[in-house]
Amino acid sequence: MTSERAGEAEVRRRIASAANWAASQPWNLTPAEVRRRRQNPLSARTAVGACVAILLATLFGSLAGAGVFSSNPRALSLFQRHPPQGHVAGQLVAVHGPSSVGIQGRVIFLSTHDMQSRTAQTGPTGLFSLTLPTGTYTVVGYSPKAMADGKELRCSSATKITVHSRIVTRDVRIVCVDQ
Amino acid sequence: MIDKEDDYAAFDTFFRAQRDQLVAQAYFLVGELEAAQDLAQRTLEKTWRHWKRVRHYDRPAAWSRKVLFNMALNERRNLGRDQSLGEIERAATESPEGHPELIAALRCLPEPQRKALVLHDAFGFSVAEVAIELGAPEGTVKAWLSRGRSKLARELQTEATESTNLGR
Repeated sequence: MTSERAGEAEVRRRIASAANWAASQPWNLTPAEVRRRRQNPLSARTAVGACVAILLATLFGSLAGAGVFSSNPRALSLFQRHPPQGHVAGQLVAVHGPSSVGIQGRVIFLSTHDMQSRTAQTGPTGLFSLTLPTGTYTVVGYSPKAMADGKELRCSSATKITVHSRIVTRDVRIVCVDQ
Repeated sequence: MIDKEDDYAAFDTFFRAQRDQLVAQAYFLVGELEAAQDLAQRTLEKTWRHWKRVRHYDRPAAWSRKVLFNMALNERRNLGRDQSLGEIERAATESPEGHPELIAALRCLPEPQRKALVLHDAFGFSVAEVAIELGAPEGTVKAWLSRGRSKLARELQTEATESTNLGR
C-alpha cells in the first residue's frame, strides 16, 4: 500500500515536471502574430481588392487626362490631385455638473460616406484643429482624464459635423459627461 | 474603435496567461513539443477568431482547452493510433530531454483519466474544477485520478524495469 502511494506520488511529480518542461520551452509566438495570422486571408483579399482599385483608378486617371470623359480634362485632373477639403476646429471638454473644462485626449472623425477615420490629438486645454475632405462626419473623443469603470468614456458631439470646401467649421465641441 | 482596442488588450492578457499552459496541455496530448506548439498556436488563432464572443464567457480558458482537446482528438483519429504511438517512440529517441516515457504511458490511459490527471496533477486544478471542466461528478473525478495514477505508476514501473533489463 505504501509503495503504491509512493508510486502515485512519483507519477504526480513526473506529470508536474513534464508540464513545467513543456511550458518553459522557447516559443516566439506573440498575440500580434496570432491576430495577424488569423487576418491573413482577409488581408489577402483586401490587398487584391486594393490592387484592382489602384489599377482601375490609374486607368480612369489616364483616360480622364486624355480627355475621354470630359471636354475639360484639366479640371478633372486637378480635382484628383486636390480633392476638396475644409477645416475643423474645436475642443474636447469634460462636463462636471454645471462646469466644463478642456481636456487632453484624441478626437476621431468617422466619415459617413466611406467610413474612413481621421484622428487628431488635442492640446492640454482640449483644443484641436485638422483638415478633412469635404463630407459629413460622426465625431467621438477619448481621454485618459475621462474614465469610468477603468475604461475611457466615449465622448461625442451633439450633432454630425459637415465639412465644406475651403470653409473653417469652428466651435466643434466633443463632450465627455461624467456620470 | 475603443471596443477593438479593448478586445486586443483583453486577448493579450488571455494570451499571456494561457499560452504556456496550452502548450503543456497539448504536449500531453500529442507527445511532441513542436506539434504541441503548433496545436496551441492553432487553438489561440481559433480563440481569437471567436474572441468577441468567447471573452464574455465565465471561463474563456476552458473554451480554449476544449478546442485544444478536440483538435488533438481529431488529429489522432486522422493519423491513426498506431502511427501516433510510432511518433512518440521516435520522439523518445530523438528528444531525450522531453518526457517520452511518461507521455507514452499517459496515452495508454482512457481519455477521461488522462484529461483528469493532466488538469489536476500538471496544472493544479482542484477536483471540483476538474469536475466542472469535464462535466462529471467529483466522486467520478476522484476515481479517475486514483485509477489513472495507479495504472500510470504500473506502466512506468514496468517500463523502468524493462529499460534496466535491456541496459538502457
